[in-house]
Amino acid sequence: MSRNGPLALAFHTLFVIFMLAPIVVVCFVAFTPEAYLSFPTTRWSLRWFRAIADYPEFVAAFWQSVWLGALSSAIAVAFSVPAALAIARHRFAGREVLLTLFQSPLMIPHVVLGIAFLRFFTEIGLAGTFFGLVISHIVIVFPFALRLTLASATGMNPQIEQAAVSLGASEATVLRRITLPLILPGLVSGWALAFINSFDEVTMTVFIATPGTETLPVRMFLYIQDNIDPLVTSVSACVIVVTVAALVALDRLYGLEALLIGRGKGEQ
Amino acid sequence: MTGEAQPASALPAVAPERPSRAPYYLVAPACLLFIAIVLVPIAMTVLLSFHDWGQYKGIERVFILKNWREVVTDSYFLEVFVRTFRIAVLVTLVCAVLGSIEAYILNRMGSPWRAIFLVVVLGPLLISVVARTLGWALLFGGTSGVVNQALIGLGVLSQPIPFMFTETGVVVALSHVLMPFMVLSVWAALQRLEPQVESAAASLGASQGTILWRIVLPQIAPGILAGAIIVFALAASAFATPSIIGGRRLKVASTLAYDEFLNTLNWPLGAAVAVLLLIALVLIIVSANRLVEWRYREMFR
Amino acid sequence: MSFLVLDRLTKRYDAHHAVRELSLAVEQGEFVALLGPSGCGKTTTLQMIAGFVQPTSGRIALEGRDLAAIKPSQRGLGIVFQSYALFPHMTTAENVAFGLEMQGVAKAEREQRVGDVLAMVGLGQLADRFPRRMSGGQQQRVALARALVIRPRILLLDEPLSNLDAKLREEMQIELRQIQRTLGTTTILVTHDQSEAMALADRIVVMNKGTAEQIGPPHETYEWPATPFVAEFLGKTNVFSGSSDPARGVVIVAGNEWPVAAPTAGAVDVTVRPERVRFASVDGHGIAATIKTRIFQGNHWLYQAVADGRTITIIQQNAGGVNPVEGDSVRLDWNSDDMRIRPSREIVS
Repeated sequence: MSRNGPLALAFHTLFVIFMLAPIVVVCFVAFTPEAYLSFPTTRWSLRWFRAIADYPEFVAAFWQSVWLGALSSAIAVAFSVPAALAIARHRFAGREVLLTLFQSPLMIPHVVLGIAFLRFFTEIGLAGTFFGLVISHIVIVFPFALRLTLASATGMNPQIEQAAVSLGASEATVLRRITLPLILPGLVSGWALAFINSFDEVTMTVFIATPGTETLPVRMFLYIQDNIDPLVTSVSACVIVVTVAALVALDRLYGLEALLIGRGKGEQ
Repeated sequence: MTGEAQPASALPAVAPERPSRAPYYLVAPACLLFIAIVLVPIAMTVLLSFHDWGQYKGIERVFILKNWREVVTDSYFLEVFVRTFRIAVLVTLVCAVLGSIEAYILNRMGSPWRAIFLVVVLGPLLISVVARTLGWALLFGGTSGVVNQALIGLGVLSQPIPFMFTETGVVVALSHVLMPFMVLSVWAALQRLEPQVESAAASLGASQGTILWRIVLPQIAPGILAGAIIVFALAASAFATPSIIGGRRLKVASTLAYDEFLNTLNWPLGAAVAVLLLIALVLIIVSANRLVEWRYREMFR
Repeated sequence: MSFLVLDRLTKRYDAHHAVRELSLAVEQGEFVALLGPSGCGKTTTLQMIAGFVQPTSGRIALEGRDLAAIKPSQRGLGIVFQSYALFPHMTTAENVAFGLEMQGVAKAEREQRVGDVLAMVGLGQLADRFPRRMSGGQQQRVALARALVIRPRILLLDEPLSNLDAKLREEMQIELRQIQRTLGTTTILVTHDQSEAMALADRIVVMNKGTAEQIGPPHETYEWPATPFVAEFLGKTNVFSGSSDPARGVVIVAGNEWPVAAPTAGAVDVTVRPERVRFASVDGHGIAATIKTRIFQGNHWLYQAVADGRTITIIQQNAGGVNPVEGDSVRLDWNSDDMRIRPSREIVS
């Protein structure tokens, strides 16, 4: 690859600063020893991290996000498997339409989804329940689960399944012994991407979460509406650190490109 | 949310046809799921926008156009929608220019820097939008905010300018939040280029600028446009960032709907705002996609 | 009754016929090659025998039983795919054992048979290796072993050697033939490589646009091509326009007469194989031509000579004889027995 000149590198440096500045600032301020927002210059303190323990609603919100993310992602992946197999292996009427339908949550503003679900759940009595939250999150993460499951299914040589059939395997056996084991990496990465999207979602969730079922981003958002103090920065710093760790792990395992574009490292 | 630089109709290649009912059984679960929890709620919301509302009577299930009339004629709503799309256009332009350049620079790096900076630039996508926006709130904070200090120190500004609670601040913060989508899209397009094409042009005497303008740019244009569509859609429907940076007085479509729904409790009106946003976005996205596909149909296999 | 019978097998996709009224009877233990260019329908035929594609019309009968009613997983056929289609998450031994597992064979017998067949294809030490760690040739052998271990009634090979390099391909051809002879398995090979088909098969089915243009043993098909397509597809050939005069019992090409009993009078196409053309003395009988190019190919020379604007191909063994060079004037002759004569299909304008 050709090298970048000094001008390009200067631009790049400014760009990286732009991308990292807000994140770094939040982590920075989280260590302030003062009772108000400021940059720690002479002393660093962990007081605001310890303070999180005094706010059980943040800890509860964290676990809520984790369970919500794990469950909705798992269900979304489960639903996506048969659909992906159908789309990858067969040519049938309505295939394109269905694919567009399944990807539609990406095109619908989350504000609209939030309102729609709020109305829907109120009508059928699911308002404020964890179950309702799970349903709404399944909808928004489904396109991600489907995309990665589909990439895995289409990447598989169909002759492998044919070989198994010719050797006497029933359709159920082919699914269990051949197809599922081979698309499993795709399923796991689909789950991971879905989880991340669920964990971060705030716009839709802010409409349907109630004080008992708030997720972490919603809790943080509502807190900020009232005031911005170092507590929310320390919570944010924790979230950032965990996310970065997960990010690095995912990049090592699958490659960030594979997760975000659907294509592996070095593949075309 | 993540995006993809692919035309909407790109489907995976299929094995020879098998005349069976199997695919219909296979897609049934996901289909039913979607009908039940996507189509029905949205239909209900559209219906809701036609209902009447009063502060004491609550929601009345009639079919009237009162909310729609208000939304399209009232100057307040008009102002909010115009602001929403103005912000979206600005954010899209900023991301398109800066993101494309950065993607190109990244592409020309060698390993290990390339992989490292790819994670650095794309990683923020996975970090909570609230945390990132909080960072901007801290950077902007008041007239002594870091950003102002830096700009004054560099001689760009002579006086601090307010970023917090201004459209400019929202544009800057949103550009940060949505930039990875653009980089991703252009990056994907760049991966499809053969590096030897650039070398061939150079060997024929083209300058670096000519190569960029005549060779690279036309080929990645679909990627830039696809990224632009995604960024525009997300910017127009953004909620958390405009809410935190813009504050209560600087409303965009999403925060307006939120206001009507959860503060005023005028659900039908809020529904009308939301549905209008949805329709506008769907129209824009679909026609933009069609345009890109048609214009670049030769390039898509 | 033949072992496998294809009776007017047809596969139609909308207006396009992939396979058209193909009829073939295969005897038990026979090695048959379906040969033809891409798009001729050979792979579709194989897929219909395997059961992955349903025929539009026609019958396939195996040992007298109609296969239409039998699912692909019950047909007892061994298939080697062009891409090998090994199970990437299983070792060689597990791959090969899979078919036996499906048949419900007991573990001890399974291991025994897997070991035997791996030894037969020369992969005994690779039993625990995964496909991604093996070369193309090794993967190919695993695919073969996996198909053979189940003692299939028919072995179907879909261009199994096309991904191998030339030398490896030749080695595998010899091995394949030996294994087939040893086991006596009825085999159907699909290939576009005419030398491969002629080397391996007892009979060749030369296919073109969905139909069989000729079915016969390799030698016979090569020497007596039934149609111009077969003549040009199998080996190189020269086609001359001539005229036939049965009254005098001669065929005339480019002013030269050859005594031969021709079936028809008038314009004829005469095909002569390049290796049957020889360089005669310059003032003797034969077609006058000029050497345009010559290429040395190890055990023979390949010549292209031009006469009256037509290019003639000559192959001459590297036996140390006379070797003309580019630009030489020569006279080309052959024996009457080496001429294949057909009424001309050209429209004379």
